[in-house]
Amino acid sequence: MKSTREEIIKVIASVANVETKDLDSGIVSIEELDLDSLQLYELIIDIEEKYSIRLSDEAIDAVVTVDDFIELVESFVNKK
Amino acid sequence: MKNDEQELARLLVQIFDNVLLTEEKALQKGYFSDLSLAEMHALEAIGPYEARTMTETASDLGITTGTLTVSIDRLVKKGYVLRNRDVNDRRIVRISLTHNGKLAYRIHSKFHAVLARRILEPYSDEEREKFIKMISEIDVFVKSQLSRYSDESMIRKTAKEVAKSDRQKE
Repeated sequence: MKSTREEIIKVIASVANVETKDLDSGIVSIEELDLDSLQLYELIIDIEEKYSIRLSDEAIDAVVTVDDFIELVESFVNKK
Repeated sequence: MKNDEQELARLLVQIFDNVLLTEEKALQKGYFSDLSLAEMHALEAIGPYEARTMTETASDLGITTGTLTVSIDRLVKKGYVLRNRDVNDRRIVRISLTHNGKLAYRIHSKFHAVLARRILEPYSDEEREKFIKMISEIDVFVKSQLSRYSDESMIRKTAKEVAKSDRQKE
C-alpha cells in the first residue's frame, strides 16, 4: 500500500507533468514546478477531494518547498 | 462639510462601479471567460465544499429561487455546478460545485485576496486596523439601511425620515 507521501507526490507529478522520481530527489521548491495559478489550484482541489480536507489560501501561501506541501497535507490527513 | 459628503458619495459609487468592472474584465481575460460576473457570484454563494440548497443560496445572493434556477440551469450546462436531489428528502434540491466550478471559485477568491492585499500594502499595521474598523462600520451601516428597505412600509418611513431630516437642516 502506498504511503500518503507517495500518493501526494503522485498527484503533484500528474498536475505538474513531471516524473515522481524528480520529486523524490531533484525538485525541491514549488516554484521549480513552474505551475501557473490554474495548475496550482488544480493540485489543491485534487488533494482536497482525495483526502476530504480543506486547504486555505493562507496555508498554501506559506508553502515554499514540495516537502512543506506534503507536510501540510499530511498534518490535515492525520488530524482526521 | 458638504464637500466631504459629496466626495464620499462620489467615491463610494466610483469604488463600487470600478470593483465590479475590474472583476468583469479580469473574468473576461482569465481562464473562465464563459462565466458572467453574476454567475461567478452564484458560484461564490454555493462555495467549494458542502452542497447547499437553492433557498439558502438564493437568500445569500438576495435573489428569488426562480432567478437562481435560471442561473443554475446555465451553470449546470457549462459544467460548473452539479444539481442533485437530497437523499433523505427528495423535495430538496442540493447544488454543489464541479471540479471546474471549484477551480473558478478558488481563482476568483484569489483575485479578491490580491486586490485586498494591494489596497492594504501601503499602510502600517495600526493604519490597517483603523481602516478595517472604519470599513466594517460602513458595512454595518449600509446593511442596516438595506434591511430597512426589505419591507415596503419601512421604505416609506425611511423616505419620510430622510425628507424630514433634510428639512430640519435647511
